[in-house]
Amino acid sequence: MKMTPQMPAAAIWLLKVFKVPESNPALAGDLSEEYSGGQRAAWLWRQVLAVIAFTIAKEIYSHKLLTIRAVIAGEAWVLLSYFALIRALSSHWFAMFRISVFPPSGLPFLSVFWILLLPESMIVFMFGGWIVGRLHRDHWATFVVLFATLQSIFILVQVFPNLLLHLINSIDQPRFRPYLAMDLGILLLFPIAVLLGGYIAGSRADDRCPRPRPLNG
Amino acid sequence: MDKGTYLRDFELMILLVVLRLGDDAYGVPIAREIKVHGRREVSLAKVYATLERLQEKGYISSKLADPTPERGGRAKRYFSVTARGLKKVRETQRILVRLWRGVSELQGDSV
Repeated sequence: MKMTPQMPAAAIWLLKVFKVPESNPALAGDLSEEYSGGQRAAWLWRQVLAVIAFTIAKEIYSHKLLTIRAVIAGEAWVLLSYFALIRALSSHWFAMFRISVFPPSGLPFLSVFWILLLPESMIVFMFGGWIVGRLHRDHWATFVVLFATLQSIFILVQVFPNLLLHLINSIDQPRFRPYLAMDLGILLLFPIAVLLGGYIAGSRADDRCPRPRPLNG
Repeated sequence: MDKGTYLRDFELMILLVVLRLGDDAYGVPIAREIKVHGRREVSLAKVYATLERLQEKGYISSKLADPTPERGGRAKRYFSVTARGLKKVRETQRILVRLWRGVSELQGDSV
């Protein structure tokens, strides 16, 4: 069922992903009514983001154990696969291509990272998101977003010192810009991979499962 | 007396707005009234979260109206304050008024 033709498709899609039209149809109707009544797009997006934030907070609060399980499951996969699979494969490739892990010039390492490690890492994070979504079909959107957010925080903590250094250095020294691009790539692409993997698992689950009953009776 | 919990300020505002609106108390006008009288914009999500909490406490009840096309085929949910909710509002008012009296810093201030 369509909410209203005027509402942006992306807003409708986001609300559907978080099952707002099913769990709280009156709220979804209020948003449609206000937007078609002349509210600005900025207002709508503020409201949609607030609805999503409240939905996530409520689901986490209502399902604390499931939340912990989702985070542990995703994190276990990422850590295990990252340290076992990627380390093994990458060391094999490094040896195969006779490239040092810490080459003196730096640039070959970046090339190796982008060509070999990035796709692998993307797959690992994507599969992490898929596992979280697949194991928690009824609340996949909340848990996948939570897991992606946690990954962003972990990655930011890890890359922040380098990111800051590369950002400052790349202002007047162009040779640092590839490193800055790598830091930003890691920071952005891995959480996106988690979201993508979670969406693949969750959207399939949505096609199969009946939706929960409305919240207010 | 309903022991255990006091109304939060936003819960009290919502209950008062629902009482003011009478038969027209659904999400959009409730948020609008709070914006007009509270002089701050509130998200519909926050309004609904509070309404849901108040409903769980038994202070308000709700009923669905017929779906309308301008709402994408979705019904309005109208809210009304229950007898228990009204009692809680009165009780909160009494407590606040008692606390208000005798505070020299607040004497003579226009509201």
